[in-house]
Amino acid sequence: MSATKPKRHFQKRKSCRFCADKNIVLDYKEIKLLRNFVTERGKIIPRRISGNCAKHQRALTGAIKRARNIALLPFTVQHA
Amino acid sequence: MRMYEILLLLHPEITDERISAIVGRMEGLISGAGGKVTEIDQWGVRKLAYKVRKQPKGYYTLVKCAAPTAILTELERTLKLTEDCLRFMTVNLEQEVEAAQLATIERVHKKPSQAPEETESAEEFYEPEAPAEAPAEEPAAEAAGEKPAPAPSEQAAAPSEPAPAPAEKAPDAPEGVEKKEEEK
Repeated sequence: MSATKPKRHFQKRKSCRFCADKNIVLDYKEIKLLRNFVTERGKIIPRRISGNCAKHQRALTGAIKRARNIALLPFTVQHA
Repeated sequence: MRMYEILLLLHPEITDERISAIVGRMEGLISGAGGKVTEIDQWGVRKLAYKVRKQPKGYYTLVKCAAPTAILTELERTLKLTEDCLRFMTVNLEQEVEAAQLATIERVHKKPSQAPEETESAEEFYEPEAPAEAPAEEPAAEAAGEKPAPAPSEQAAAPSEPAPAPAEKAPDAPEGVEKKEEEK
């Protein structure tokens, strides 16, 4: 472990968007909101990058997975 | 009684009567068990994120209801057997309603302003810049069976947006999907 490169711990201290604004409802139907947390290829953006708190990241993930199941969001995007 | 919401993904070429039949059956089951359907929101035809049963588009309908838990299994079983229903998703809204209050909740029924069929021809007829022009164009385009018009009245404005653009790009479907992803 001592031989590894030093990791930068605090890259970006982003605050959780949902904690800041309590009015946003995490609904699987609000795909405009959900798209912000999904990469171009359709993958869910990890918490360390999106800055969400654990509770909201869990809710967000649940919403994204629901949306995927009902074909509102893709599971994966094939590049043409 | 718990509040549930069921989002139905129906075949895109479904007719109004068949939709009413499906929703009617659901309502019958729910009311029979002592519940009540509080809202029916028909989103209309939307482009799907991926093909479901070989269909690139689907008709979405949202049904919100207060129902006893026991009826859900029966309801879902009925939906599974419905041919037109491609997918459904039942969500437990974390809300409780007293049985006594049920009568006070009024039933809301939102529809896209015209028939769900003829989406292809209607959209090709119409310019792609639908959402902005939708209110103005509504009287003129209504005869042609216009879809994006319900943007003001519908709570989810998003469904009206993807509808015109993908139909235009129907010939080159994969690129259409890409472009849609980019746009969003």
